Amino acid sequence: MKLSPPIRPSEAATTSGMDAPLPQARQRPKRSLLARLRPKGVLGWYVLLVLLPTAIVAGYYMTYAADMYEAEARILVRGRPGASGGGGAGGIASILGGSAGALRPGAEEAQAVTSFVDSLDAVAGLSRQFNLAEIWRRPEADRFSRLWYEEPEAERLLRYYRRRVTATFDLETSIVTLKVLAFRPEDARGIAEALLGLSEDLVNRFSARTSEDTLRVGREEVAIAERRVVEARAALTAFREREQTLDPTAAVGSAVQTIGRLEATLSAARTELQEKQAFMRRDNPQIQVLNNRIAALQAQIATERQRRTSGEETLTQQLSGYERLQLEREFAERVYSSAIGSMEAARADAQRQQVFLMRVVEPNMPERATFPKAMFNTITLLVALTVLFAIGWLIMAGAREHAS
Amino acid sequence: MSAATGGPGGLPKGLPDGMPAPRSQFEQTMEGLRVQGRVIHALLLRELQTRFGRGHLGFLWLFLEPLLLASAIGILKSLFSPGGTGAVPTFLFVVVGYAPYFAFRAIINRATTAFQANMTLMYHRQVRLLDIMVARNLLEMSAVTCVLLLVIASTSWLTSFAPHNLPTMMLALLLLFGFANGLALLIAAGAARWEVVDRIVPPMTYISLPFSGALFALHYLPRGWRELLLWNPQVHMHEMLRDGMFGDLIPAYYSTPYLLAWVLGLNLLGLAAVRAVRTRLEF
Repeated sequence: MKLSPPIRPSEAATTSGMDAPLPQARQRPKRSLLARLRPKGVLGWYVLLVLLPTAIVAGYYMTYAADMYEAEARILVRGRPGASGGGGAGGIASILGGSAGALRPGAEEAQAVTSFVDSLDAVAGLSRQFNLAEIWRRPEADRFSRLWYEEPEAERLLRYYRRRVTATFDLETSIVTLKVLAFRPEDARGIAEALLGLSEDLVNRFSARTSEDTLRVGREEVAIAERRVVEARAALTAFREREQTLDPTAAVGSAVQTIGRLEATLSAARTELQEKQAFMRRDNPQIQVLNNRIAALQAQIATERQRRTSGEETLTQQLSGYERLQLEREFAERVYSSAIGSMEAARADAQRQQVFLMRVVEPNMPERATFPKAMFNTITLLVALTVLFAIGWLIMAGAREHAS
Repeated sequence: MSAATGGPGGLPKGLPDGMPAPRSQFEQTMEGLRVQGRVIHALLLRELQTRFGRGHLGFLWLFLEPLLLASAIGILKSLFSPGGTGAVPTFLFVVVGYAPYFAFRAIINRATTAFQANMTLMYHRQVRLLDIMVARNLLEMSAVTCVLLLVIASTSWLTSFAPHNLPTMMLALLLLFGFANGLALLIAAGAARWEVVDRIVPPMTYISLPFSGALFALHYLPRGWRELLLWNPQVHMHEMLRDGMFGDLIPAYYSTPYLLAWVLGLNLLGLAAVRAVRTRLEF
């Protein structure tokens, strides 16, 4: 359409030379390259928009694309059966429990492992062992699929890393599948191996942390109870030393016995006095003796009573103090034994909550380059472009009908 | 390619003035698209008129209808199974699932009669079969989009439950509309060809409701069922929509490429089918 102005002068030049039998025929070869490449008809457009891109992509895959090797490993994170998921994160798990089957023990940790593998932390961990930029910029790598930056920032490296390393978690089997792509088989395998090691560390850290938490409370309680027992015993010993008595209870018992014996003797004396008064005169010396004994006994009973029940150093006070200490000791001992029991239970619980990372499939050494999937990608592209082209053509054709 | 042979300057001078200049194909297409846009716009207005008339709230019924239906089902569900879906409000869950399905069903069901009802329009040279379908589908789509916007905006205002990822939701909705559009084209063409289609499509939409994943999340199903259902592209759309709405509250299972392949394939088949039956219907 815009080709006509440049044609004019040449046309003039040629017509001046000859008598120009076929001007159109001579104009044709002079049209610019772009104009001659303009597709003609549906087929032309099809070649331009569908076949050409497909051919370019296919050519890239066939000649230029670097082979990539995939190493795969599978791990199973499991806890002992019967351990509760625990914590607030169990909210969703308990919902699922109804229909989809509860999360298995270890499922949460497995999800943690997948999200760890996908994280900057894992990249940092790998960077301590490998030079990741070098691994993904091997000389055999092609320009498009290799890492573009020689000294990538952490985020750029992470973005590339996410394209090359995938970890998927299967909810039903609790198996985490780890796939690593690299340009050399040993690189792929090495990275996979290192990632497994890092994940193992992570899971072990979880376990240690859990048992630490469970046991810490138990240990603290046992220590408190222990201190209490020791204190109670010490208090009791101090009391005994201070009061110069081994067992106030026994002392009270003996005091009661003494008084009882005195009272028995008193009543016997009184009976004897009554008996003798019946046939003896008042001033009989025997009655005098009896009277004296009764008086002495009464006085003795009174002093005994006095001594036991009132005053500074009374037995009742001793007794109540002693009983308090005794009770405290018993309590302390009981608390101690229950603390020991719960500590044992916590230890068993911690044992049950241990999670392990088990290697189901060790990272393999890839022998054959399985990536990129040249055939699949090319055919997919061809089909997709064809469908898009057809839709576009149908819409365009429909629109053109409106214009006529 | 008529354009290649003659430019504006290179036109033969001998042609009579009254004849229109032959336009390039590109211009012709653009002109056609403009006309088509106008036609579709006009058809849209006409559709509104014929369906809802002037009085009685008029075209407000367009979104009131799905809104009321979805809300009724949502309220019923949330009354009968409170807390049935965990952290997700049951009402929202149902509305987000059902409103798009409502649009889908409306588009599909109305597609069977689309050509018969508009037979008279075919006397106009500029009205084509595709325009009728597109106008009708656009109407349903915009109605449901409005309903979803209304519901989501009001709930996020009232309960501070905001959509997790709006772009994902938009994409899911677009894919759903594309899917419905392609299927509607195919069904309309089929209905023009065979009368049986007219009879079997409405029951099919009812039968397909339990398998569409509109009213439940795949996550709560056993694995076997889930994998079986994932062959159904509708399930992918609803899962994607829910993923955009609720994010990690419900794990979602869908594959965008699979869905895209279905949408493109159906639209291609639909366009081709409509083109194939036009000789029977257009004048």
